[in-house]
Amino acid sequence: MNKSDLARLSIAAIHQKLKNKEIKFFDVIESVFQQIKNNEKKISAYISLFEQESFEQAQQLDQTVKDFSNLHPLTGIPFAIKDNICVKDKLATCGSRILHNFNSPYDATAVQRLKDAGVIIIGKTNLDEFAMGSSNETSYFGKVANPLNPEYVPGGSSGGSAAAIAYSGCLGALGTDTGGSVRLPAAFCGVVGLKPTYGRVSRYGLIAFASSLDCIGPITKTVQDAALILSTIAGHDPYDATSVNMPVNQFLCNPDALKDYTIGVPQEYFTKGLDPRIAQIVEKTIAELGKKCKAVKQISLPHTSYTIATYQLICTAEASSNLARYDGVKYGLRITKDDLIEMYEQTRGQGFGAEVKRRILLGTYGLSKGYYDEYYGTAQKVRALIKQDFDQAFKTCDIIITPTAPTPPFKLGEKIADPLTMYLSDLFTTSASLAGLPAISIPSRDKINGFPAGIQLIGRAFAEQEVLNCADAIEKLYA
Amino acid sequence: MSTKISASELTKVAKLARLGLTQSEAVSLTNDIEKIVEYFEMIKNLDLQKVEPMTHAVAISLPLRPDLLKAVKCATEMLPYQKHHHFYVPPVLE
Amino acid sequence: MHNKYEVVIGMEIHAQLKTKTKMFCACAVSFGAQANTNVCPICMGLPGTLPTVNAQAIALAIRASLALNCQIRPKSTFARKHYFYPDLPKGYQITQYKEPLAYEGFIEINRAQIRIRRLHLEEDSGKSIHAGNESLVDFNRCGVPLIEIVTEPNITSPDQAVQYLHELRQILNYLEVSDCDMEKGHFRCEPNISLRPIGQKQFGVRTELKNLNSLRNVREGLEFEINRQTKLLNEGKAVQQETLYWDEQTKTSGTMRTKEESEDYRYFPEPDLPVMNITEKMINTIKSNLPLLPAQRKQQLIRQYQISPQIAEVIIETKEFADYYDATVKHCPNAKLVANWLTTEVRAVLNQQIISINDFKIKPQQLAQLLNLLSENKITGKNAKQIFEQMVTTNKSAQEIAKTQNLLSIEDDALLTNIAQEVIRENPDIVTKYRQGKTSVIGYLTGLVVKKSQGKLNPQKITRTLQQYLNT
Repeated sequence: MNKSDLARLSIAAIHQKLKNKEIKFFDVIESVFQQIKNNEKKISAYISLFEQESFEQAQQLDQTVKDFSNLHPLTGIPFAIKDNICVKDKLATCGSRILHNFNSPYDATAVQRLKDAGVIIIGKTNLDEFAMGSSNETSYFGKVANPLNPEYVPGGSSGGSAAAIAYSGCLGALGTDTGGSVRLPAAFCGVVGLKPTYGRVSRYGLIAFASSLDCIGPITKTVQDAALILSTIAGHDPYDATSVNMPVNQFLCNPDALKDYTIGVPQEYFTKGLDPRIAQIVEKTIAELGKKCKAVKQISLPHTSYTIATYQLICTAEASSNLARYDGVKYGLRITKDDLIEMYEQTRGQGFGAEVKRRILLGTYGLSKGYYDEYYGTAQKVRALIKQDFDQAFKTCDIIITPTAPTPPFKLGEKIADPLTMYLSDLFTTSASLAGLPAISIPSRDKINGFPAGIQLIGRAFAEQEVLNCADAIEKLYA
Repeated sequence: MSTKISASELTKVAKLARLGLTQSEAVSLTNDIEKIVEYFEMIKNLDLQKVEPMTHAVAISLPLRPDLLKAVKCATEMLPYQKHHHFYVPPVLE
Repeated sequence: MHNKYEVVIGMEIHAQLKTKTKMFCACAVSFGAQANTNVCPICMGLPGTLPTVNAQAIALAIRASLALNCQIRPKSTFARKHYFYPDLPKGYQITQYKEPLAYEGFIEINRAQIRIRRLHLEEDSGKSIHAGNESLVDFNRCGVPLIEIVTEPNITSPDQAVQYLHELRQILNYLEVSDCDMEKGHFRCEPNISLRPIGQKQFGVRTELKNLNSLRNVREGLEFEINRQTKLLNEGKAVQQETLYWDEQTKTSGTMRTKEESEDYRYFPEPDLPVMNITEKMINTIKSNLPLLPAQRKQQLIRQYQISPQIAEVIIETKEFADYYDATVKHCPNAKLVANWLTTEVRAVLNQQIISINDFKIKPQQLAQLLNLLSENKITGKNAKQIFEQMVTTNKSAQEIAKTQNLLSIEDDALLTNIAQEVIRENPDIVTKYRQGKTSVIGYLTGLVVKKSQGKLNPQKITRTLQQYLNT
């Protein structure tokens, strides 16, 4: 294999070659930056790149690593971090003008754990502003294009991370998923995206959008790579009171476990909102799975049609609160004015883009005097019902299979003027977010106009292992 | 029940959120928000009398931290808008 | 002047908890540090940071709740309260709203019950200094733990309000929950006041009063506001619902905010902090370690040492003072003597130096030594005071001072006889008066002997000796 093609391999494959001393750490970085040079101009996956530092780190590893038998599977692996996750002394812009100059003085816990494992962080990836979007068109630093076809959106909000993986501009990436922001761009870009159970990975250092929904998750080429990254970043963190104190085993992929699983197919997900071509692909996969798993069952998630409204009410309310700190007083953008209120209004007015403003206004409205019970309070109750739906479903099945997105990728600019239509892109991903459940998106074998469809698997809380087993089985089925 | 959001109501909310909006922004946002809030109305169709609100995604008990000092490097060093060790802002009127 | 109306006062108190670290991060709680030095990414609200809860703050709040006879909620929640202000770095304050830690308590004051509606935890904001054409913000105080204690509107006079504050401060001080120093802002109160015609059930329109940073300001502010409202009502005018700001200098209040301008805080449950479970076990542990409260301490003094209630009241003023008393009595069995000295001589020094007992130079054991000398008649009362004064300014012990300055009483019967006879000889007129029945002049004669002996003879013994001579 040509050394310049190394970047196209999986983390696991690169690790094997490093371990066998077939290649050097330097070769891996070199290959990845070659891909970046070839693709970045038309894709714009990155907001910042640390080229020199990355090469130096690789050289350092080449000089210092002696014991290759105990090499951590992520040592020397080039990583991209979504720009709403803090990396010490690096910009953390959230794709927003309001944080365009903000350098984080600390590492997010997940980043710290990756660094401890020896990864090389090569850059910070583009995203929808403050992770609010499904198309990656709302960043202050420009749109991201889909590497499978640059006229199309990569999906959002972790579009930069998904695109970078898709064009081999890194080997592993972190994204964040609030209502589908890891899974949707993974589906659109034909890669793997895993949203862990809420509480599994520390949120410390993840710049909050909607705190009760936000999760950090890996975006990778393979299911096995996702398992490797999750094993490294998961686990209790005393700095996050919502992180769960539960031991984390090394996540592996055991596709044979599929034979013990009952797969549930929620009827509500295969109705009018779903593109028939995607339906066909998912149904075909279910048929193939049926031969290998214990059973396939029709299940019902009766409150599915309420998920988008519920999700939007909750995430906008929390966003309006989380984004209140960007006021120009301590960091980030400040529009200097003689009057304090004017300084606030101009800083926030000019610092935030249209979608962020829309959500802040919606959230403020939903929490304001006289409306709380009607909107936010009600949405929290519907959220409880949505979670109960899953509790019921998991009494009769182990894994739920659905499409990740209702449509294939759309063209850049196609939906940006119509926020409500855009929100519906998250139709199938928000329910797992509301219920706090682990979910993965893996690319289908069959394609629509050159784009694979995303297959979503949802598991019980903290059953990432089962989700990974099943996803790995499907990946092998397609191979 | 009317779900229409008036321009003046939007102005009030924008003020509450300290969001400066241009005239044209205000108009387009009012339109969008009106449509979206109308869409939200569907959740009012459910019978929720016996449902407890779900405030957190995982039902864990709040962990407590021991009252021990931890020397953290002063967070302000690299931040802008400071003089004489203070952050300066336009005068705050009481 | 306002006897047509009944006064209705409710009180909101914020007390700073005595913890080492802040409510939601491990930064030091300190007073007077260089601006913006006790801050970390968490209390500065930097992007991506999250709060974690200080266990000691919870324990102290539970302790206060128990002492104030509150019910403690087994599950309580934190909430975000939103408003924009430069010294509020997150744009919201983490507080408790729908499910406060404790509720329905009371304090008894002169057999009246002040009912407490709720007690909850929250974080403090930073401080803004207003300097001409800009304001300067210091975040050191940001995130310092507070408890807020809200009463029902059942305080009936400024007098009772001040008593309530006094009592509450004393309790929190005894519990070591808070230092309650009003000047340092450890203890802040915001009363709300309304009037209603006597006999009317419905409450009148209320106003809130801010910036009362001493008990005196509280009294004056409340009296001013009651008079202002009374005047309005007497003139047939309506009281406006508003927040008023007390000006200590002019002793008047001004409008800060009217009802129309009142904030919409958009409270909602804090998603970063799960539900807080307070177990029976936690409560019982705290209960079993609850220190004696001022009232209990006072009873103990009266019972154990036969001290008068008035003096006992002075001794229990602060926990530190009462502790000092107990420590002194351990080494000096004359409990009444200790009580007298503490409430007079010692207090005088503290007042003069404007210090608390903790900063008093003479330690209990040292004071006990002095009082033992006095109690055993080894020094005279006058000399005891003289020695005490020197102890305050030097590091010397009572024994040392008495010895080096020759102030110890001596047992020298020959000297006593000599001086007594000399005094009798030199004052025939007075001796005559005595013998004619005016026996009170014995004090004067005793004084003369004391003087001649340079204070070294025991006055009681002098008197007895003089009486012997004069009566024969």
